[in-house]
Parts: sequence; structure tokens; C-alpha cells
Amino acid sequence: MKKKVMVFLLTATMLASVLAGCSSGEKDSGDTNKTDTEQRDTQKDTEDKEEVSKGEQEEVVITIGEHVANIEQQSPHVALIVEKFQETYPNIKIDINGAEVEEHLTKMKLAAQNDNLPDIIWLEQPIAKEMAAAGYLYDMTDALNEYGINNYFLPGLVNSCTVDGKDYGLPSEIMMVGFFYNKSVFEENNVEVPTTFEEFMSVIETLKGNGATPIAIGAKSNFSVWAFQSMLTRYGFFEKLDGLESGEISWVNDDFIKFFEKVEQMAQAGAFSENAATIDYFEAKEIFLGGNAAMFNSGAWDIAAFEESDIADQIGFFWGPTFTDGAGTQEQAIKTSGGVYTISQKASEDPVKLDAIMKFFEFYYGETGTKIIAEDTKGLPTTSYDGAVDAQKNPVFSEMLIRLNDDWASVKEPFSSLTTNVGNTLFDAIFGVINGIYSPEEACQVVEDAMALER
Amino acid sequence: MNWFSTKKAKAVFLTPALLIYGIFLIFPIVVAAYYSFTDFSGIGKENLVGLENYTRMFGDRLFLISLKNTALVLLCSFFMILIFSFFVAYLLNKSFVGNSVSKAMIFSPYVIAPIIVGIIWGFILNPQFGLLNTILRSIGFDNLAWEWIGGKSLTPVAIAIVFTWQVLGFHATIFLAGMKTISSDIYEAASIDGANRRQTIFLITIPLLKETIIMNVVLIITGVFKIYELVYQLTGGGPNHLSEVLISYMYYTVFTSSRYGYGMAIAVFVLILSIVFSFSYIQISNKRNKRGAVS
Repeated sequence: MKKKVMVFLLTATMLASVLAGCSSGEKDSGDTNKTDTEQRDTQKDTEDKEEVSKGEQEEVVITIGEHVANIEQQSPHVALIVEKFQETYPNIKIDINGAEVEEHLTKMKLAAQNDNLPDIIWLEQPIAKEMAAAGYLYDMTDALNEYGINNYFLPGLVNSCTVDGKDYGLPSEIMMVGFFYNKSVFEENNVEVPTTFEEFMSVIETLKGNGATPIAIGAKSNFSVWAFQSMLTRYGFFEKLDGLESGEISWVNDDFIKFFEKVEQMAQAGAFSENAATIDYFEAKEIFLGGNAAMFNSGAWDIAAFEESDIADQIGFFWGPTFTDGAGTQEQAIKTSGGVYTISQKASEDPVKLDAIMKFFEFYYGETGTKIIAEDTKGLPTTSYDGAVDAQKNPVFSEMLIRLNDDWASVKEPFSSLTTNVGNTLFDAIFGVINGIYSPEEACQVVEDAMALER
Repeated sequence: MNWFSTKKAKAVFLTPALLIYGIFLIFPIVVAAYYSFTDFSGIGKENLVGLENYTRMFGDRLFLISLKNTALVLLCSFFMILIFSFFVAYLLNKSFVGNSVSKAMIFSPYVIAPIIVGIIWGFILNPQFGLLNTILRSIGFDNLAWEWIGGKSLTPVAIAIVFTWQVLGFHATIFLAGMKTISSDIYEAASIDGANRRQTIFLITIPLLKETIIMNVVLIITGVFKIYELVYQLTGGGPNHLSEVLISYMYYTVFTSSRYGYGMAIAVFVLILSIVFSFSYIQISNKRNKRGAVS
């Protein structure tokens, strides 16, 4: 009995002291909450800064997940920037790994579920926005201002990937797409660079009639329809986007049907490689670079590959045709950011690592990185560049720079404004018409059905 | 009683294998089945949607195309594999010079990675520059230079042919192993009774290989339902998903379109289908066996 009383008294004393402690905090909470929060934030900032300055001496490893399998060959600017950055900051090591786009994105989705994302991740914009909304990515709005990175970008490339007004991604490259053409094939067939769709069809018919393949394209890579996305914007895609998302406007509308009818006309005129269904984008590129096709729809990422090819001085570029029955501005082209570099939420929780990552982005988008991209690897930088370009030595690069700065309005890539499912269905729809599987109306309906699932 | 014969011992020895089987086979199936009732996109949280994914399946034109293609591949390859592998095993069961080398060569396609098989046959079957059509055109058979792959209709047949080439040796090996268990006394007795070769094959060899045939049939069915790399490499499922089979369409749905829930529903459907096919065949064969025994 005595023992039971002792236990009870001890327990009561413990409970009383716990409650006393809580009540003293709560009693003062009304007056000191703000101060406590401010104190905690200030304390955290101080701790972070102390950690950062300690970290400047310690080795930090940053992991990067890239969307190409061979970084040195396919993204030489990234490889070189990483190398130079590590020379500048010897205590920061970068471990970069990559895979082809589809495989890379699959891996990143799986990594997100396992909380195992690399620190810096290249993502397509639709997936970046989905991951940001799910809390996997770091809101870098404040950090970008603190490190002044937004000051480097070309107009139109700031806020490349936002969710609810917050920045989650930085432009990895300029998404500048259209038709590359072989000047000597054009000359041999007595055709000139077309402007309107009627001129474009005339060029295709002439080339086809003379036994040349007008456009090399690989249907196994369903994403390789960039120039066609540009064409879609000239039928009012962005003007209709809000209505498409809400359901007020259907994909089965007159403008989009006209767009697909143009694609069908091209297919029926024999514009595309005969083996389009059995080859992919890389094989189609080889066909073009081998001089076996007059045109190839691609973008600025291929500048380095084209500069190294045997036909570098023969490669020209144009934005694709305008349409007399189009909707909205015709002289507009995709000159925007494509994929984005994001930071994983997990990486951002380590202030030392976050500082190292922001230093990397400062370097990448700053003067040194811009010079590497423009001068050493002949890529189009997303940041301001004032250097001179030797048109003789780098004909493709200089032509792209001229086009980048011409007076065509810039628009985003339609795919970036759609969900992954709808975007891929749009690609399927375009190739469906190219392959003669879908009529224009069916192509519109297929995308509408996919969009309806998302509404 | 020896401890090794006790139930406890059996349980102890079976446990590791059962654990591995449970973790790496059963558990993923259960997880996939769960996700098949959700709208999971691979990112963020999933929401339960009941049977929506399953009801959508049978209204999905592309799913029905993939189902039709899988059925076509199964129909074509089933008979080709069963008949040719039996025939090859029958020949290999004879002793002749080069028998061992022949066995190795016939089995070798099975050890080549399916993706490499796809690359090799892509170069053979490509309608424009493939070896087959090049030969046909060079000998004046332009009208036979069809669109073996990349066209609208022939790809499932091409996939069946490539799949047959790849697995023929494997199934022939199983048949050969079964033939080796048949005593030569039976053939001797049949020969004495005046049985010719055709009677020997149909009245002795095939009936005695019933269990082997059942095993091969089940393996063919499950093998066809697992085809993915061949389709991926030959056509990518195109043009426009016209050559998709169930697994390749499931892959596209999950990893390209980010519709994990719907993709898992397709995966569960494939699992159920292959179980139904396999067990049905086993049940029918067993019933025929029993009827035969009774009569």
C-alpha cells in the first residue's frame, strides 16, 4: 500500500512539473510569439551562415542528374563548365550522371518516390511543375534574388518554371526550334527558303519530284516534332490555352483541324522519310547530316553536332512556314527555355550544399559559364553574351544567333504548357497524321480525349 | 524419424525461398494491384478511383489494339514454336555427326539479349533497307517486299516470327529432354509390330510427351505475354501504337504518359489473362488424360 502511494505521488509530481513548464510557455506566448519566431529565424540564419562558412573549407559533393547519356558528347558545355567550376572551387566536387531523356525522367520519378533525387535535376517543364507541386523541389525564388542569378538571363527567360508565382527551375538551354536545311540540296533543286506554307509545299513537291527526301524525321522518337509545335502556335494555341484547360474550347476546333490538315498535306506530298516509322530522331539526324535529306526539324541543341559535321557550311535555318489561314501572330517562333535545372528539396535542407549549388548556378549562368557555352562549345547561352562570332568558322552558330535576335516574337513550346500525358498524346497525334493513321479530325479528337481526362 | 523428414525441417528449408518469392514476386504484384485502383501519376500522392482504370481499359482503342496484337502474336507463334521445336527436337534426338554443335547453334538465339535480337532483326526486316527486302528486290520479287515492320498490319506477324526464332532452341531443348525419357524398348516393340514413322510419332512419341507439351504450352503463353524488347526495338510500338503489345503499351502508359494507375491495371489484367490461359490449358489436358485413362 505504501509503495503504491509513493508511486502515485512521484507520478503526480512529474506530471505537475511537466504541466508547469508548458503553462509558463503558453502564458507568455501571446506576448513573445513574434519575438520567439524572429529569434528562431535569426538564429537559424546565423547557424546557416556559420555552417556555410565552415563548409567553404570542407569538401561538398553535388550530384547532378542530366538528360543525356554521354555528357561530353551531347552536352559538352555542361561537362566543360563542371570541369572549370571544380577548378575554381576545389572543395566542391560534382558527380554528374545522365541517361537519355525518357529513361532519365523515369529514373527521376522513381528517385522522387524513394527520396533519392540528385541535388540538381534536369527536368521537362511539365514534370518539374508536377514535382514542385508535390513538394519534391526547392522554391529557389529567394535564393535567386540573393545570388543575383536572374540578372544574367535574357529577357523572357527569367521565371522559366513557376508554380503559384514561385521559381522552381532555371532554363537549361535555349529552346529554339525550326527547320535546318541543306543549302546545297536546295541549290541543286533550284528552290529557295520558303516563308509561307504555299511556298513550303512548292519546295517539298519540287524536292520530291527530283527524287530528294524533303524532311528527315524519325517517328520512333515521338517527341521529335518541334517545328510542328511552332506551326501549332501559329494557329492560336496559346490564345486558346486557357479555354482548352477549362474545357470551354475543344481541341476539335477549326484552327487546329486546319493545322493538322497542313501536316496531312505535307505527308501526302511525300514530305517525310519513307522509313520514318522505323527510325528514331538520331537516325533521322544522320540521314540529314549524310546529305540524304533536304531538311530536318530540330533545335539549338544540335548546333555543336552540326558544326562538327561535313556539311556544316551548308546548313541553314528557318522558322518554318506561316499560314494565310492561321490564327494570331504568324511571325512567332519557339525561342524560350526548354528543360529546366531544378534543386531537390532534400538538397536545399543542407545550407552548405545549397550554397555550393547556388555558387554552381552563379558560375554556370555568369560570365565564365556564358563564355564557355558560346565560345568553347558553340551553344546558345540563355544569358546575355556580347562576344563576337566568326561566321566562317562557326556558320551554324552564327546563323542561329542572327535568328535568335531577329524580330520574330518568341513563344513557349506548347508541350511545356500541357501535362505529360496530353503532351505525349499531342506528339502521337502529329505523327498519327504524318503516318496516315489519323485524319486531322481524329488527331484533334485524340488530344481532346486525353485533355478531358485531366479536366 | 529423421529430423530432415519432419514438417518443421521442411518449413525451415522452404522459408528462405518463400521469403524471396514473397518479397520479389508476390509483394510487387500486391502493390501493383493496389495502384491499379488509384490515379497515381508517379509523382505525389495517389487517390483511390475504384474500378475506373479497369472500365476505361475496354473503351481504350489503343489497349484493344495491343490486346489484338498480343492475340495475333500468340496465335502465330504458338503453332510455329510448338511444331518447329518438336520437329527440331525429333531430329536432334537422332545421332549424327555435328549433333552437339547443332544443339548449341539452335539454342544460341535464346541466350542473346532480346534487345540485341530486336536490333539484328530490325536490320533484316526494315522495309526500305532491310536484308530481306533487298534480297527480294534483287531477285525480282518486288511485290513480296512488304512492310514487315513499321506498317499498319504485318508487324505482329513479324514479331511472332522473331520471337519464334529466339525461343525455338529453348523449347526444342525441353522437348528433347522429354524424348530422352522415353524408353527405346517401346520404339523397338512398335517397330516389331510394324509401326511406321508417322504412327510412331503420333501414337507413341506425342502421347508420351503430354506433360512436356503442357509445360511448353504454358511457357509459350507466358513468354508471349512478356514480349517487350522486341517491339521496343523493332518499331517502338509504332506507327502510332499500331504495333503495341500489352506489355509495351503498359510501359508507354506508365513511363511515358505517367499514368501509373492505369498502367498497373493493364499489368494486373495481363497477369490474370496469362493465369487463365495457362490453367485452362492444364485443366483441359488433365481432363483429357483422365478420360483416356478411364476408357
